[in-house]
Amino acid sequence: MNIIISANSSMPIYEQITSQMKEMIISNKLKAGDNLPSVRGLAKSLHISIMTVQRAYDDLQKDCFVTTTAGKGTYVANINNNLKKEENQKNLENKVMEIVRIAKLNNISINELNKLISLIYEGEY
Amino acid sequence: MNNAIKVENLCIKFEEFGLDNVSFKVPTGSIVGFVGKNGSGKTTTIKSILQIIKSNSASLEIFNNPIDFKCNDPLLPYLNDIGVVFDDNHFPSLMDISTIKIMMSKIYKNWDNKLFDQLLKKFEIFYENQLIEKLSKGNACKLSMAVALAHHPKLLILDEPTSNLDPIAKVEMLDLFLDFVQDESHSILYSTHNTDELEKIADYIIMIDEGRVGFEVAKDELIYDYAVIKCSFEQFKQMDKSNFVSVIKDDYSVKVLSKNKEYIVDNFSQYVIDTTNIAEVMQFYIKGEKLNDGIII
Repeated sequence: MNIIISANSSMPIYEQITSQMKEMIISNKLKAGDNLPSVRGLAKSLHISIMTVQRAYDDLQKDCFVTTTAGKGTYVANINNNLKKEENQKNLENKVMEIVRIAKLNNISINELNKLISLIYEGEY
Repeated sequence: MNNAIKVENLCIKFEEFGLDNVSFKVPTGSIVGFVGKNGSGKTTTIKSILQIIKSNSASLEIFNNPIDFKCNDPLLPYLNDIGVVFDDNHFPSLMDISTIKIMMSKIYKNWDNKLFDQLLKKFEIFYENQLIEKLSKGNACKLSMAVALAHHPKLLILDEPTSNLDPIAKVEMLDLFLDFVQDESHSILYSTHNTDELEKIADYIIMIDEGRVGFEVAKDELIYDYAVIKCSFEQFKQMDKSNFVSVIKDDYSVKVLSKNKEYIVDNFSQYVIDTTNIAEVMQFYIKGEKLNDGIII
């Protein structure tokens, strides 16, 4: 398992951890039942604080990607296709939100934006 | 929640300086960074926790046990479980390392000769018969660290231990600290001016200024929930300041600290919005003009 943390990214470190782990889980590099590193162990290896890793693991658990058993550690949960779909949908929504924000900032109308998206979607751009 | 250290209302009065109602906690299992200007009271606080400086007015708990100051040596039952490192050398200068080793093995109940040797080897200090006075500043600090760790403490109290170390040795020390807290019952109170180290490994930050606790905050909150707006004087005048806590005015711009980044990003997106760091929040606290309730944390 590789986790690459950028100190200069605008993305918080706990989000860098969750997004990379989610990606590994969705792409099946981490399989259901796989044991994640301990919170303290990962904090030590990445040279970051325990609470930051804890926050990442809490978020992963909230989103149903992992389960934590007291005293045993954190395991990759059985994720079904719906969860994968949902996660992809969420990613897409976030990107679209960003696009809409830029469009509004630049006074681009919804019609213009739709046209642009259609063009790109149909592969004519 | 369990605390390795809990101090309440610690007051000390010297002629020109004192501690004024210092209260804070070191939760078990965490690394707590202790910052402040030179002479702000960090070492005095640490020394009074350790009863090197006597204080009668505080309430102090070590490992959740209340300390009774009326006893002769109230901290004695806990000293086996506390490792302490100060920034300067506290060993007799004409002793050699092997004598120190023998001495410590008689003092500490859980002294571990093997671990001590391992640590010295790791620190590349090979001369057991070397006199303390011949050690470089960096090596003297590493020796203190080895002594502190070799009696298997549960709590490390570190007063600027890395100030004399080279950058490589500093990273090695951070490794040691993180190694130490792999055990959930271990905790560290870490006083330092290297705020970038704390940004990496600390769970909580306590800032002390002029003998008072300025702020006590979870590090991630400071890094991720605080924000700094940079703008012009005219822009600043027209802003709604209800979510601001402190402002610093330079020659060419105004910097504003807020504890509510989400609000700032939603409402001030036309300005430059930066994340902040420990050193900058200290600046805001010590040099900044306080807004609203004036309380940063």
